[in-house]
Amino acid sequence: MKTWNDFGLLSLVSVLSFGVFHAAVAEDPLRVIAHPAVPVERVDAAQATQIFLKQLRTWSDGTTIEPIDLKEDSPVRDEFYRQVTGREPAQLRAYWARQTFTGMGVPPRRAADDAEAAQLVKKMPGAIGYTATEQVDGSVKIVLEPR
Amino acid sequence: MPTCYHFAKSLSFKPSWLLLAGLLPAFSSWGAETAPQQPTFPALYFSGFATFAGTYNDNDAAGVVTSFAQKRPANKGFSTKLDSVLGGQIDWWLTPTTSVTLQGVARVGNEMEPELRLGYLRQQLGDALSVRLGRIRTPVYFDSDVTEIGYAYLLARPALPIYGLLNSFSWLDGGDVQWRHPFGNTVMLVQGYGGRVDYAVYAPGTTPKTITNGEFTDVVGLAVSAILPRVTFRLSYTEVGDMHLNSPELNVLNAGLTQLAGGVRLLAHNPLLPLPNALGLQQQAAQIEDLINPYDGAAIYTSLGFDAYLGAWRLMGEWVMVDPKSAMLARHDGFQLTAGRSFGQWTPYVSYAQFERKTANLNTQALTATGLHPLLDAGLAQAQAELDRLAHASDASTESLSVGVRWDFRHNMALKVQYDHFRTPDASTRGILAVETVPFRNEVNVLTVGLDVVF
Repeated sequence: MKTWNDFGLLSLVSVLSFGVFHAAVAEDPLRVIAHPAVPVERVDAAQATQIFLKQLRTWSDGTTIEPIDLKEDSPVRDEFYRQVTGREPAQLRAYWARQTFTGMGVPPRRAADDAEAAQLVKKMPGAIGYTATEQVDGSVKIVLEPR
Repeated sequence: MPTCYHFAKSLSFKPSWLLLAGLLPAFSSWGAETAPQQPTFPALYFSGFATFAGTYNDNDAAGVVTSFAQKRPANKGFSTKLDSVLGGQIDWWLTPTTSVTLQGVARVGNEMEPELRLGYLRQQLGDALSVRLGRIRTPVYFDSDVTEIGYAYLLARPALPIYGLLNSFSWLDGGDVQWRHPFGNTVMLVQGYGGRVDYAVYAPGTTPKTITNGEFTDVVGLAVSAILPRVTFRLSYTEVGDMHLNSPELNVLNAGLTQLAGGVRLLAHNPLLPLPNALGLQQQAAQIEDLINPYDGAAIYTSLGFDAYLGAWRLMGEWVMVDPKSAMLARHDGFQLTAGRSFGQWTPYVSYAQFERKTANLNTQALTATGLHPLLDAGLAQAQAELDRLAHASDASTESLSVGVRWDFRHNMALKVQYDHFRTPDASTRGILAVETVPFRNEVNVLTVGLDVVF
């Protein structure tokens, strides 16, 4: 049986780990990466917003844009949307609920983590994703560094 | 009737409500399942939405409805009938460019009878163009396609003064073509749509209660959206080429008008009447015949709206105009303005909406007494009184002030608490409220507590 002390300890651990985790997210370099063949070298936050909200669907050369998102519970994802699109996670979910249930669109493909996102971006022509990992090799393009 | 009785009655004898509540634990996640991960075709996806909401209405003479297609209004006391809804959707992707979508809803206010909201085949034609054929949600106003999907909307519901009438026909049988193209930082989305709507209206504001069947045919419209990164503007224009209403009450009225026109025409044939008087009666008979099927005609719906995300602020606004080309229905216009601000998971908001009749009531001068036949004149007076009553009942002028807060406490759930104050211009104008008899206390206060879920 849990005691109040257990709950207190759990709460303390939760608070501390939350703080440490957020500090880690804040320090990681958030980058928007794209397949090397996409016809742009840079995108701005406005373009990234429209790409990840799937309002903008083709690159300038006609290639289909394939945005790669991260899973719902990813803090990197929340940070990306806050920084780049100015939307809170709840606002984003409301946006996709609207798109889905009115038949106007479906959310982007989702990767399990940064590494899978980078792999998908590297493999799929037209793909664009984001990552907070330190190492981004030359197999993808960095097209936006929000900070 | 005591409020607690309403509460017990609403919860105890509604298996549908228990069904909604029983499904709650199943709504554990949304998002991952609705988005194709590594799609292989054909692929089938299930998703859904639900709102569990209770309202308290303080007016014993005026119920609140989201549309006149709602069978049971949220009357005085506690009710779950205004916003509670369960919806399910199936998306069947046959190929990466071809899909079939079905969406059904069941509303507590409509006794949980299943209704089809979406049922279409979608074909993507290149990256810019797509076509949907079948049943789509009404795209007439800015938020008319999202009214039942509480989670997707900031408030408990889109402003009823301007959406109450439109919500009565939530779908369009036909299809649309969507074309999307970027111009700099603006994506333009052009949606052309057309089809027909067949719907039923339950009219608690008329006596006796009756079901009116409505047919909107030759519906065509165009919506143009300018989608900027932080704000979307949308202009839409919809023409209803032919609008026809049919009900037992209307049939009686039409039969009466036909008889009266025949009676007046018969008087005109009296050889003893001077020619000018006879011609006047002929003209009067023709004018009476013009009043048959007084609701029928055409209509134009126009909407201009925006939805902006400005930092932590959310601003929404819309102006609408309904211009029916029928003898009975008057032109109305209105607007709504909403502002909300996010504090983490909490978003308090305030909204004001107004809808006003802009043109005069039906002209019933054709039904003035002839002075020649007492029995006929009594019939004309009765018909005039009835038409004047119906014309006044079709005045949808209403304003509302809403204050509330949305709490996104889980990743697929939001709790909303909202207070609404509705008011019509005077005690004999029902507006968009469900009123049995006038005069009535024309102010209604509604408190809503609702849980919105997507799964």
